[in-house]
Amino acid sequence: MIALTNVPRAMRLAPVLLRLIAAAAWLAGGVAAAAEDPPAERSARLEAPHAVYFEVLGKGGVYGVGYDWAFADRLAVGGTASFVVIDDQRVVTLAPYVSAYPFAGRSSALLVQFGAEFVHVSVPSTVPGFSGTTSTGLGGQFSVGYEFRSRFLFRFLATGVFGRGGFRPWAGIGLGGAFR
Amino acid sequence: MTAGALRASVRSIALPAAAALALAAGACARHDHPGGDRFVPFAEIQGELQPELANDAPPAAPPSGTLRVVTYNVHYGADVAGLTAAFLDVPSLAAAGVVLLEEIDAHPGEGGTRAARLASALGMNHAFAPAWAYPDGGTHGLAVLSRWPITSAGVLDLPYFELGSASERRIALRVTLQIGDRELVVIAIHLDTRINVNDRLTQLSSAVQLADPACVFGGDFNTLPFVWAGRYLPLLPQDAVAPVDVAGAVDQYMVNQGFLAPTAHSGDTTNDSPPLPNFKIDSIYLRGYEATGSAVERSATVSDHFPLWVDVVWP
Repeated sequence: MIALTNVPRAMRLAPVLLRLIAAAAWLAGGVAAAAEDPPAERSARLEAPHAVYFEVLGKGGVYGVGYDWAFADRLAVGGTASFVVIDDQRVVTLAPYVSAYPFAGRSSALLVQFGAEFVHVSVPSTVPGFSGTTSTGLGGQFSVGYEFRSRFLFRFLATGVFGRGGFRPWAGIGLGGAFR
Repeated sequence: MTAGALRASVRSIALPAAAALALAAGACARHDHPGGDRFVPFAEIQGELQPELANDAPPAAPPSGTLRVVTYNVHYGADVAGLTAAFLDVPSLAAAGVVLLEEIDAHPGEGGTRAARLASALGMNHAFAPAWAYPDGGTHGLAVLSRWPITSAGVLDLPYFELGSASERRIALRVTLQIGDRELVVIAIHLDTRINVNDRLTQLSSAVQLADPACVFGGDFNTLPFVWAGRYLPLLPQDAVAPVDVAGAVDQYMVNQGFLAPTAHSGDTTNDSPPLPNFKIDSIYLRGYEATGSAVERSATVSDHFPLWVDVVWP
């Protein structure tokens, strides 16, 4: 039961939730339809279902390294990891995800990803009077973008990351290789 | 300048080349100038950054019980009439005895510095300390307004950080007020935006180490919760999921230096509209004094910050 004080916020969120549900239904429908209709030409995702890549920006923040596996022509699972030290601050990011390809040719595809995002930031002190601090959180991320895959992998992704700090937009490119 | 920082970040995420730039800039030294070792009296500062001190207002009676101190980043202070109206019409601001102003400009041809015009309209004394100059001869800096005479004023150069773009000299302004037969020392400060926690505390500590045993210390500490990559790029994915409590780190540091942090739980002090987020980046600390209350005044919308006030117990 929604408390009365929360009703206005719930009402504001309702259109957003409806749009997300509609988008998910559209995506599921597209993927299911694609599964029923075998492609005339075998796709690069089936020929080289394993991919390793290096991301600049992207879900990992400054950079990330990742792996994913296309277990069907239009579906994949994977993850990106990053560890970076900036001004003594250590930032660890792990982002597992599920990928779908609602529109796909042999090598080029519209790529949609969603998953979790774990972040741990450690700030050791270099200033007397400050004992350092840490921050850890678990949130979510979704991305929409373009993928080109042959033996070579290229991705551009626009990403939204959300958690206790709010929603933040981001983007990045991924470069790597794909193999059987 | 939080809106500017966010807008810059949103622009930068569309340009992967920014990453290379950010990482290159990250190779900069931790600070590029250590800053000053004393508050330089106004009388010793000449030239384009010559400060201004005016005690034109008749001294008010000493406060009975509490003295209200306000800090307000006025985002250049172009709307002096709007600021005046806010301080006259909003009861929490009209009660102010001392006002710390950050990001206040002065420009030729405006009929006086903006600090002087605001002080005159409010019937207060003022000290204005420029941190840097515009090409048109204008200046940008800090000011303190007071209902009581300002008996001394000085400027401290804070450690300088080369940020790659929009780097600027940062200062702290120290004034002594004569309130009846007692003195009150007030220090106003404005820290850099795109530096990480330890650098921020390094910049802050240079002023704290010179602060008086009993003083009011406030301003814009720019405690955005970001990890800055290369002093350009706020890591927004990390901020969404695990924001760093930079404001809490500054509070912790100040408490360890003997200050009270009465505004620690004030809530956000920036005034940006959605989808831009807001943050707590302004604070007031007290050493040698007690506080009875504090709040952010959200009805004053002249700037991209809200004013923040503290009621100081006045003996």
